[in-house]
Amino acid sequence: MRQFFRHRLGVIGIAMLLLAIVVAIFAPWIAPYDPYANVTITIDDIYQPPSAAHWLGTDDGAKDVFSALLYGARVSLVVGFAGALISVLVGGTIGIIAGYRGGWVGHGLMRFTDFFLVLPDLALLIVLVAIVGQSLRNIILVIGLLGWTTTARLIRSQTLSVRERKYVIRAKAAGAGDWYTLRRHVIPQVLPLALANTVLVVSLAIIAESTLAFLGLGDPLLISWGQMLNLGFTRGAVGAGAWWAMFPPGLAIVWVVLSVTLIGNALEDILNPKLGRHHLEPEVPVETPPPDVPVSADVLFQVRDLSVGFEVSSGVVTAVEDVSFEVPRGKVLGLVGESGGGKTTTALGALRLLPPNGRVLGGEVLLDGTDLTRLEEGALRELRWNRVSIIFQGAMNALNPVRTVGSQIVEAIRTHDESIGQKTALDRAGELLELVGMPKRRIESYPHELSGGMRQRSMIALALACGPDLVIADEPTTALDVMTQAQILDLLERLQEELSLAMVIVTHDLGIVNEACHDVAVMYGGKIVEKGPVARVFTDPQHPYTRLLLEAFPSLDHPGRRLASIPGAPPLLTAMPTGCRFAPRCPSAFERCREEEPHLYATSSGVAACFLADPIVVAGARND
Amino acid sequence: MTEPILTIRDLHIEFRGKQRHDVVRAVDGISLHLDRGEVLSLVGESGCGKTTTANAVLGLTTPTEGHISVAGIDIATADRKQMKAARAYMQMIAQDPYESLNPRMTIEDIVTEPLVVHGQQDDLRERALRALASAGLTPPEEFIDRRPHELSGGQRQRVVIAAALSIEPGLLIADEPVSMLDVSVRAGILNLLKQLADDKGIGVLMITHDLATVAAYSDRIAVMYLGRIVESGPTLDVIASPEHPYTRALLSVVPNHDPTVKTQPTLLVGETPDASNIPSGCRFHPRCPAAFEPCSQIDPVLLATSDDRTCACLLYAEVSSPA
Repeated sequence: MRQFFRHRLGVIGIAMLLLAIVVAIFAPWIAPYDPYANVTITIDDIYQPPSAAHWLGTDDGAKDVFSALLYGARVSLVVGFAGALISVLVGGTIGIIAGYRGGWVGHGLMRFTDFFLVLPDLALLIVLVAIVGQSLRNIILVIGLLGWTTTARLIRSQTLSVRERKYVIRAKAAGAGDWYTLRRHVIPQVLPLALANTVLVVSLAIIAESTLAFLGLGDPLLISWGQMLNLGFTRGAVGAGAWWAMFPPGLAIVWVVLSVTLIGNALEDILNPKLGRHHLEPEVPVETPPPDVPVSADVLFQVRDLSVGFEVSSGVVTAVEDVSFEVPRGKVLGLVGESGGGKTTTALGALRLLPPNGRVLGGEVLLDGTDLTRLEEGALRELRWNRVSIIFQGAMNALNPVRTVGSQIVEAIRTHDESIGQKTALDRAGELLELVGMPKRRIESYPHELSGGMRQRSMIALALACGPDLVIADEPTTALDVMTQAQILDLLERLQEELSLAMVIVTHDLGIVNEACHDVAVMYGGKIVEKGPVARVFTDPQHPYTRLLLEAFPSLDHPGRRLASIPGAPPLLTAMPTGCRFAPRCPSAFERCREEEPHLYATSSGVAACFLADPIVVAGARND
Repeated sequence: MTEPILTIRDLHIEFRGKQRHDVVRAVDGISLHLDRGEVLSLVGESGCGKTTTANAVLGLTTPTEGHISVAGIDIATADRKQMKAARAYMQMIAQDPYESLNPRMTIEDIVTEPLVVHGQQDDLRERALRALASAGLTPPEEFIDRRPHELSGGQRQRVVIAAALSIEPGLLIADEPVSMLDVSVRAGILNLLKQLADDKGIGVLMITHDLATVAAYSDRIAVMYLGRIVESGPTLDVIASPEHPYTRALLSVVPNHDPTVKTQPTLLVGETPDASNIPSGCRFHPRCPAAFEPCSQIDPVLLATSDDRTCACLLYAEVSSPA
């Protein structure tokens, strides 16, 4: 609800609609004249222009247009809301039954809906009203019974998706009946959507009523806006130049329909917050000239004090803080940690591939001495794929589903080197597929024709298309089967050695780090807590988090060993503990840990952000 | 010996495939049983039929052939009342704790849902508190009035378990109960399931692809490949000395995080074939590093290789058939 009031156009819509409703309810008190009253008139009273006595002039019957306008609101709104209510009730019921039951019932109901959907609405409306008679009740019924089709389709698709949700399946497995499932799970989930839809159906119903009345098929005993337009047209208002008899009802219709549409759009925005947003949009670079930064020759990729934040409603939350690491040529670094640790954000932030609300807050990302955080967009695009490429988690989402694997590789090759011909690029694409262990003919395949493992292989081929020096792989084997995972890891290791690539592997799996990486950086709460060669860090972890994570990780070498779990849960970005971020879950924490944040201390196996590695603490312990 | 709480005999489940005449044999003749207080892991890769088997037990999928009985009730022939009793006896724990809780409901409503569904309306709050405590959410008063989004992943999965426990079931069916959770909280959930089996005598059927994680928490293990059980036995025995070449390969590729241990992974070639196109003979033979000539013709049956182990492989066929 609060969300809604932040939506300015929605609030304007509500205000406009409220005004119309107030006017409709209080018409008899506001209106200066009673438009239903019989008055004796003279020719001079007809089509009088606006005056102090008649603010909007008079119509062909010498009636006050302003008063008629106020009374007209009643019919329009009553027909609009009552008609919409019928439509939504009918459509909602049919949609829910069709979606929930499925099978031939659902099928039959949807064919029935489709049949109604293709009928020409207006023509049918006119015929039906002509048959049943032009009373208000009949008009409401006819409009209501013709307007339910879109609602039915919408509600059906929502019901279908809710029906497949895990908690619905769980309830069914627990023995829940249909009525219970509908009442408890389906209807509450469908209702918000139905509400947003109702608003749009209201506007359609109002337009339908106006159209009917304008065509002379309204209730002849009632004043409505459409009726006013109809009378104006048929009784010479145009010829008499009496614009005041025509404009006000027209504007009133626009007013109400606009208000309802604004409300509907606002509701839609709130219910589908992701509408129209691109996930991985590059952000604007920091506009300062690139400084000359000396880097030692064998270090290819260096991240220095990188901080990344996300803009949220309450400000900016920092997701990654002062992260530094380096990757020498031909070496593999594992960035490991649990969800929320900041490992993926670090990788995406370094390449400026953050979601739209993500920002690099500070630090440098040096690729062969070029700072990626300061590069302008064109130069950065040039660099991506040519020098550095990324293998995303979930290859299905990263590959274009409507284009063949081959054409996507060709595109990558030719975008970065236009001198390469189509034929050469296609040959190269075939070679790349063979390199990743796929048959050459697969260049003709679409992503959906490939298995998960093949898709990931294509993704790797695509990443290698322009011969990068650095490859960043974000959870490259998550969601793959154990055997496929082993095959992909084996492939990555082989390619890394053959092409002497530098790699950053982002993963939660300590086993993958051990088998595929030279160095490891362990992240917790957006910071690196320990860093060093894998062989050292994993055999002699210095940070309690690393140690506990290793103990929590299963191993087939000790199959009978029960795993340890770390008490508590990772911290939220919005509520980082003071002092050491791991202190609340750390069995070794002491007072200092809760007050002061440890920096990285040198240890026997690298560096660790823990006071236990502080030389002063270490020396003190030795003296005890 | 008491009767098993779950018995599956010669279960077949077929689906219609993408093409008109394709038949997907998702489950192709499996048999297993689960005793009181026992944890049995059904292990295999995606598409091997393990989840389909679980769904059939839960009555969410109808078997094509075969027999499933839960606490003595035959699922196929059960009338409405018996089925309701069976559904109260077995409870499901789904993979994704983020999707398996209705975001609009309070923890109390979620936990008591099985009770409400089965018309047990008395002392709901009291029983919800007890179930939450049994699932390790202590003190339960602190959780009962919250909503799912206020909880962490591990806590949500404990809520799912509490919901299952509220009706005091005899059988838990846990489909990948920890695969969506962070490593640091997995052990807690698995310890809890094992403890429920040990202390309350609940039988747990665990469906998983992760051999290493379940190793310490299940009493027996059954390895599935393409709709069949290819090997079964006590977990530690199977892991220490796998018999079937598929089990051996699967165990060899589990990533190991100890740098001092060198592993020698056996990478299988290719991928698991489609269940609508099962290879002749032994269904594993096209990928099997140990395949020999008869493997492409003879479909090996699951035979006992010792007192408590079985294996479906021609390498062991001679051992058990004294010819």
